[in-house]
Amino acid sequence: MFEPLQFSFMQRAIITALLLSPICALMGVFVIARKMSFFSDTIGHSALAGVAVGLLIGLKEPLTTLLITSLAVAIIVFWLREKTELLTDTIMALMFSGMIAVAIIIFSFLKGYKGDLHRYLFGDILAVGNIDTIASALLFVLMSFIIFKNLNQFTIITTNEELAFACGVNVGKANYLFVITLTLTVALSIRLLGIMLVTSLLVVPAAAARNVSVTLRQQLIFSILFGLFSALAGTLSSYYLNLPSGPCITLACILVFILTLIWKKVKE
Amino acid sequence: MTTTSDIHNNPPYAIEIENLTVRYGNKDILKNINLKIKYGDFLAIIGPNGSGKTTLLKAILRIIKPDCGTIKIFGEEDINKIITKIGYVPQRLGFEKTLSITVREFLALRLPKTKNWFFHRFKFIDEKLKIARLGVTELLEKPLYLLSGGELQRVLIAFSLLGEPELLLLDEATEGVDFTAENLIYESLATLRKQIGLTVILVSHDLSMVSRQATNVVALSNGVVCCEGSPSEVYQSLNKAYGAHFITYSHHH
Repeated sequence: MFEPLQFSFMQRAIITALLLSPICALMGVFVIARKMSFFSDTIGHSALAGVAVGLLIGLKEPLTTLLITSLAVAIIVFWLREKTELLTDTIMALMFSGMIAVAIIIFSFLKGYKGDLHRYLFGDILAVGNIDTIASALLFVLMSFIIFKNLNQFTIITTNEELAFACGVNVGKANYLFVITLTLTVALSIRLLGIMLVTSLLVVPAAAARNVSVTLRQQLIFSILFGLFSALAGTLSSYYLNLPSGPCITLACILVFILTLIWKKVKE
Repeated sequence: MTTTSDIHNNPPYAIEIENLTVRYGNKDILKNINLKIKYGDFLAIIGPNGSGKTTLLKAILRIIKPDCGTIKIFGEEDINKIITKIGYVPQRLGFEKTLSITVREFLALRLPKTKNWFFHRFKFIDEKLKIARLGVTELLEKPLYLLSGGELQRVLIAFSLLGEPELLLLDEATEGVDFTAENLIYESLATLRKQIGLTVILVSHDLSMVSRQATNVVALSNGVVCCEGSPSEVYQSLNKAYGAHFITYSHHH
């Protein structure tokens, strides 16, 4: 059980997983209630263009370009949603496909980065560097602060935006804050989960928690617990089975989801 | 209770609307609306579907931005300065099954000075709710998405009342609500008007439903005020102008 912990890469991977998963799980509760899982998918996939640009300009660690691209895409989606009559779904599909296309064209110019592409797509515990762990620790502190400080606002804009407005909440500002928080969470989880599967740690623990909760407080607590468990179990099995970490964590999340679903059916 | 200083400090009307016009594309949804509502009044805005009732309510709240005209609430044009004094009950609100929020947790969001609902139990909500007498206390532990239409309306009114508003805006508050719940809602509003001088604006498609309580009625038709006055005055003039047609029309919707 403790054997993998003697390797520094595993220590980094496990610490990162334990820092990111509760934040993902917490945000996930609001993401599923607001039907924003496709939004987080769009952010995740667009990040590939950020990675490609980073490698193109010769960055060894393309985290900066990845973060900038994700934030830019998130703000553009939100801005277009508010300023145009385009459907949110359409805007996201445009950004999603456009950014992937850009990323693939850039990658085809870059020679010898096939390994990197694979790691970014499916996640790799070996790829979690010191900078990722430090960034995750910073994110953990910052996001915990933002989420708990604005929990009332996030909850009320989730229940109904008009009601939120009538309660004196600055809905526009609260929405931007929510989206920026979500984007940072998604962008930093990419190393561990991979672009293809980044939404899983966000959505699945929250959905599993929904199966076993009556109150919102319970849903938040269970979501965090399921997220922590899945991230830990996934990271460890990635090590033991020599598999990419993204699919391992995702399958752990889905296993928890199935168990909660059975529990719910039995209880009924 | 009104004191002399209140009279001097307060503007004469709770709400003053002048030349309000709201357009959607090149269609006027509201045309040149002028309204004055006194403190403590119960104004019913009536009219058939599509007459601009909900738009008027949303324009008062500035959820919809007016194209021309001014709206002053308690003498103030900037909505952000007085938004905390307003309670709002939207029309036919639905809640997603995906969020397992209970009535108690939901109501806690409206309490003033609540820093973070997650760390509180809000036992005192029960006490506060007894004052409103809407029969919400027994619903507190229920998930919001499981409430029936009438239960949800009562919860939404209780929600807006917890903010201790001086002005309450209700959009079709009693639609889809059974007779008992409707009575509960109207009784509660009457008590609150008497106790705290609450000013109420209620949008309804049905004159007969609101005439028991309203002090004033404004009838809208195609975005203009077609008549206003006391409930009986409006009833008579609508009857004269449109015959039974207007009244029966509103009964069907």
